[in-house]
Amino acid sequence: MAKWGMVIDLEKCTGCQACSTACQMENNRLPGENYQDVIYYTEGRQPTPSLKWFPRPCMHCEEPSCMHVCPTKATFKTEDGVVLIDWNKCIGCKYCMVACPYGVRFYTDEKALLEPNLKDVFKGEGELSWNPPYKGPQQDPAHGVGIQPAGVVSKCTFCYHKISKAPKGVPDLDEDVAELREFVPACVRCCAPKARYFGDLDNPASKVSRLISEKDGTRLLDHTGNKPQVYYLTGAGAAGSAVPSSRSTTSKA
Amino acid sequence: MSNSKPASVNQVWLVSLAALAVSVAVVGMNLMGQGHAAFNTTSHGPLAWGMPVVTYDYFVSFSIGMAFVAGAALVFDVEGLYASMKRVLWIAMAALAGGILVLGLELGHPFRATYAILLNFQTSSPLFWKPILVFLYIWVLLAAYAKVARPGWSPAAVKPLGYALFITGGLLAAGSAAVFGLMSMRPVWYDPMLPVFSIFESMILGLSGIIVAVSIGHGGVANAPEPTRKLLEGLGRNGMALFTAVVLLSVVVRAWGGVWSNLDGLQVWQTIVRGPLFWAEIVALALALALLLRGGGLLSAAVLVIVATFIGRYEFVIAGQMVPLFKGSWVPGLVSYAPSITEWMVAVLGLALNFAIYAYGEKRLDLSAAPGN
Amino acid sequence: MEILKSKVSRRRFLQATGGAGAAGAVIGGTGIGGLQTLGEAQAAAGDGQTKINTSICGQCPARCGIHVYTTNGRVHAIYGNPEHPIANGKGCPKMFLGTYILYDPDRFKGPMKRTNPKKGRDEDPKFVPIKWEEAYQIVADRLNALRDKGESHRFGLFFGRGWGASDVGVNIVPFGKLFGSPNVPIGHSSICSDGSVVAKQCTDGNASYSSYDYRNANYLLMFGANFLEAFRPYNNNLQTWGYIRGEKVPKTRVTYVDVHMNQTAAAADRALLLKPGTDGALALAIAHVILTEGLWDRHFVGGFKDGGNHFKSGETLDPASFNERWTSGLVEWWNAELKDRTPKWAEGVTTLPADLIIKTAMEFGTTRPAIALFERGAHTHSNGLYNGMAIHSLNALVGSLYAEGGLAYQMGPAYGAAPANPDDFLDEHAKNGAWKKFPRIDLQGHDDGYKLAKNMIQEAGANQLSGKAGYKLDTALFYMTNPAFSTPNARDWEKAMETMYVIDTSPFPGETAWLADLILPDNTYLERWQDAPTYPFQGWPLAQIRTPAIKPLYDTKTFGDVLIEIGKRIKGPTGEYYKKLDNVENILRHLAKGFEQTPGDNGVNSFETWVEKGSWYKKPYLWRQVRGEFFEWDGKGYNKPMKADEVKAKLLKTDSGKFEFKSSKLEHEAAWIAAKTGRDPKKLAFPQWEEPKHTGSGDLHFVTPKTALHCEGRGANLPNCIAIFQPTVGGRTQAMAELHPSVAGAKGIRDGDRIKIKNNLGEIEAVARVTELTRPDVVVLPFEYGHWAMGRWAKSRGAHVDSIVAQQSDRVTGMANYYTGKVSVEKA
Repeated sequence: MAKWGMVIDLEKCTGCQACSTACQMENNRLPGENYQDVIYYTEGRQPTPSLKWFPRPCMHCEEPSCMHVCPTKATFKTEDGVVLIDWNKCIGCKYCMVACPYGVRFYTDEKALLEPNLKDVFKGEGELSWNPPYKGPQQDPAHGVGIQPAGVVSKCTFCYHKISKAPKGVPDLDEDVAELREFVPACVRCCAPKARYFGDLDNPASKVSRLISEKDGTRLLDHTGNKPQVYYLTGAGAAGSAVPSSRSTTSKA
Repeated sequence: MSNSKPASVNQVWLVSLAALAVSVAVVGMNLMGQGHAAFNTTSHGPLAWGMPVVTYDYFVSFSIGMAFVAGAALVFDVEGLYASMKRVLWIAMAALAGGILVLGLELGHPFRATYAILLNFQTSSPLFWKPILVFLYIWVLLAAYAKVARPGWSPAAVKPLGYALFITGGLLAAGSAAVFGLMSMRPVWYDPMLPVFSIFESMILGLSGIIVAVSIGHGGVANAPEPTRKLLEGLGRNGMALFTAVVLLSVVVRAWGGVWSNLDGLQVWQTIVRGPLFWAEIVALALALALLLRGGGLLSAAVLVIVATFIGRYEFVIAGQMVPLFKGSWVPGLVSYAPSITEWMVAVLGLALNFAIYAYGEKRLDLSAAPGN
Repeated sequence: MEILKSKVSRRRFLQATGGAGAAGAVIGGTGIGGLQTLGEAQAAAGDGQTKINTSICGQCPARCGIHVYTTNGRVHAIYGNPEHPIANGKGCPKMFLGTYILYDPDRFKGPMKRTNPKKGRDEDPKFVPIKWEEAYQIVADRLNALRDKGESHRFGLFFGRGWGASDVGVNIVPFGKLFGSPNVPIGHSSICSDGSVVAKQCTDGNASYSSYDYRNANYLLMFGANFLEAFRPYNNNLQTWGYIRGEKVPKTRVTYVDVHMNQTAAAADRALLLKPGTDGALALAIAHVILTEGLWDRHFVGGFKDGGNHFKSGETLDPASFNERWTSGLVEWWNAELKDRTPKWAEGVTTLPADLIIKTAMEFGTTRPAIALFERGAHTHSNGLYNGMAIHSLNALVGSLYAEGGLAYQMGPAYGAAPANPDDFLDEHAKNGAWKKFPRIDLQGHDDGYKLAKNMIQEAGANQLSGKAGYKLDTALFYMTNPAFSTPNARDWEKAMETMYVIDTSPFPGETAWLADLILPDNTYLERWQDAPTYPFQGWPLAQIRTPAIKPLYDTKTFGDVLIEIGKRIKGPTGEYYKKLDNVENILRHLAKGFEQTPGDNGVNSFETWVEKGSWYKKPYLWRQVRGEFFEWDGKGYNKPMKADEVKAKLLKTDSGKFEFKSSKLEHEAAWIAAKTGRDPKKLAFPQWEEPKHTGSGDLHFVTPKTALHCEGRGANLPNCIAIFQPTVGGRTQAMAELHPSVAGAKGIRDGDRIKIKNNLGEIEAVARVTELTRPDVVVLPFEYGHWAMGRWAKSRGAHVDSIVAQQSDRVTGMANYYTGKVSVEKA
């Protein structure tokens, strides 16, 4: 069984946010609640300020703290290494949102970032908390895929509705390989500078394994022990060349 | 004691019913209309746990405090409290009821929660253990109440339940604190000793609670039966002073460390110590301590402690989430949060329910029933 | 509290459906009242099968190939077409917003006419739905009446975004010729990037944007062309960036010039944040260093007769001492201008340290191939022409024109003939009608207007009001342009629209629609047929085709077909011509006939294969300059040497057949330019430093850049776009005004405060983001918001930046000086 993971090369990342928009298209996300964000930081002063960025999907940790705190096992890890939420089990306590060190989780019932609320414009019924006309065909609440029912938490699934249909045993899901294209997570498939790679971390022959080895893949907040399955390459000269040590823009006054 | 109730009970009863009516109306209307969008908690804010969690958690602590008082009375044969045993346990149950109601309003799927937690057996989650501890705790509370509610109850026979109250209450207090204290990704919360602090906090809440209850039930501590009055003015006052000092010291030390530390996440303390709420908490606790030590009004000290610990709980829960996790420019600076009207009303609803249940007890049940000898 | 909530929402649903008859009538918060639908949204039902349609995107002129995924009648996903040479299966952030555009709930649902005779922001147009047949007849009757009266010049057709007039699916130019109006069509290029087009025309003779061979370049020097946010073709730029920065050996070095730190500046090796409007000074200083250091390309430029280097700062030279090869006027330029443009001098103008200017010049001059590219801020000032010419001259100095890893110009596709030739359908009026005496309403090409500009849409509104062109328009049709919002001092156009019969064709509400008399809503780009010869890309020809992924959701029609239907109803041979065209699909079938003779590299040789693949293209680019020699592709390689006259005819289309540092085009018009600008007629043909004339008033430069998420103008009404609109400073509910801490501090403004940005034209309000990203003399506020009639999300969101941007344009290029305004800020 594969252990799916992602590599993000910050030397190539242009900070364009196509990953964010492809994600919201594929996963029917509401404004400001994409399953993955690009995070921008400003440091320094004129005339030499620096602007850095890096994309932040769910890390699909090997030891996900969100899973460990979930009182109902609604958050679980699949055999192929993906952290998912079973919406049939989620009670909406939001403990996982509190316990995720990376801030990647969303609760269904909230004030909208932007009014008018899209949920009121495209009202849903029953299982669907809203129902936009551009909703995709996939709906798999047991794996947290599709439109959320009310009262649950959701998060990036590595586009589980795509990767779970991939042929078994492939080392990488590369969008440039025609037969595999439809199985590639949206944020990887769309990436114009090809800053993202998706593959089997357990397969030493995979491109992701090679990149992590050759280009010194690093993990965000490794000290938390969550052991992300998303690795960053921070080669010299990258725009967001360093994963910031600080997760917030504020520091001690 | 005569059966004629002091006017204060009726006042509490009427006010709590009125508050209940208003808060049920507001909360019901807003939650039915908007769901949890009526809360100011948001993922893009981002802040997951707001006022309802604070309130729920606080009521549980308060309930445990009352259980500690009852447990202490039974375990240590504090006869001065026997006459208040039924009242104390009743209040513990009332507070828990308010807390659970608030939790129910906070959860996305409260009814699913009633079975899904136990059935899935996620032993690594503090929130798996907490409901189990709540069940045990409720069971002990009910058992103890059932015994002391009987006229002429025997302290000796209830004594084992006194131990049980201590144990289950203590475990629940610790478990509740662990929900926060084990979160290493939230440095403001992360503190393996948090359960100990939580127990002390429950103790001052329990003592404050009994003081307030006796004041209401008897129209003032001075009107309480002599043994009760003596006890509260003596051991009660001194114990509460001691525990208040411990809590005050803990709060100060925690803030001190927070302001000093470079650890990312703790920078929020820079903001907290500049805010009025933090100082309100400190001043209230210090004032309460001063009153207790100088023989001042017990009731005033108790009210100060109750308010200060609520502020403290609010600051703690919110502060732990104020440093946005990986938001960069999207949320520059700290997360800003203030409870919505609905969230305030949820708190009022819980509080009103507590008081209504309590006042109902004072009116209809003989909460001062003393044990027979 | 889910259980409680679902009960209520069901009750609300019942209430809503109780009044179902009126359900479609509401256009939310747009305020365009009285809209009713004739066509209902297509029912979402089907067999569960996902269909993938091959088409092209419509959110910027690059026209990326897309695959559109439709299941059960719902379009739910769009990805890049892997076989499309621009998209290569990838997408920019806009590509994935297409479904929101298609399903924008504020879309017009069918044709409508105005019933409120009064026009204005506060006048509800009171649109009523009509049938298409009636709509066509209304327009045709008006146009026929004008023609009968001999006033056909009083009809104007204004078009905007989209790559040229051909992106309609029908060439709109013949309509003017047949019907008889100089005002059909008037493009929007002068509020886009005409500054660069004309700067290139003045130097190398090509009135066009360039094609670039970025992948083979080793140095990129970018002026204001925001490569990673707003420069075209954006998607391919991003792909290029990943390659040149993460794969290519050696890694391409990049220096980026702008007035605030943005993504391109941050990702580049070096960011030069200069004073707005001084890009030309920097380019001149770089040219100065290239010459004094002897770094110019001897093969392309030539050299001193004695083989040495005699360029010394401040010293003039004898032009006869230098043998120029493919350039002309170098020493004259040096003597007249360049000799004094030292880095030290440029430091004083640009505020950039001289040593950084020298470093940049040394790198650019020693790293080959190198490309200098520019647009946006570099040329939206009164000195834009010269800034552009100076920057483009750097390409000549290092020999990048037509070189591998350099820049060239775009070839057109091998299209077949259209179904009819307009020249066969000219009647007497078309040939010799009175309309021929009249200038264009925008006075483009006119001595009193902008003689050398390509278009002047920003002047047309004011001229309509003043009657400066000698007449006023009676009827105007707008296609993909919204001048009542997007021109500088847009109020002029707003008032002008009150004086004419306005026909808007946008699928969406907008300011022009609000002032329109007739709405003929277009299909969105996912619902229509169109062709799109490529926007300048890599030079070799490329033609893309747009096909409908889904039947139109509402009773809307492709603008190309609407224009043909109107044409059919014009009396005389014009009607015959349009009957021959019949419809857009028919035209496309004729165009594709050209591919039968010239099959594409991807095997496209017919209409059907074109539709299947989504594009036709034929590599390579046919010409290349190698070490000062020009060659033509002979089928196997660049083997066929070109003679000087061939180079002049095909590549360097100036009088001299060379790259001109002394522009013959400007020399020809020296008298007119000198009269209109006060420039020295002896010197005005050289790229040179000229202080920009700033408009407005105040101590800060007001810069309103385009962000990555402009979305063909619809971004302001797409909530999923608004929420990530301005990432670098976190503008997620509206655009934030970037303000340097020193400015904010002096005015007592704190981060997040509402501020007023004001000048002599008025004031707007914005939220301040206090940041070190922006220079202390600049306030940055991206344009996008401030719409007053564009849809429920756009409504009351943000500020209309162009309401405090004066209408000043480059007198030669016609380029609107968008970024040259001055303002002051204060706490609101």
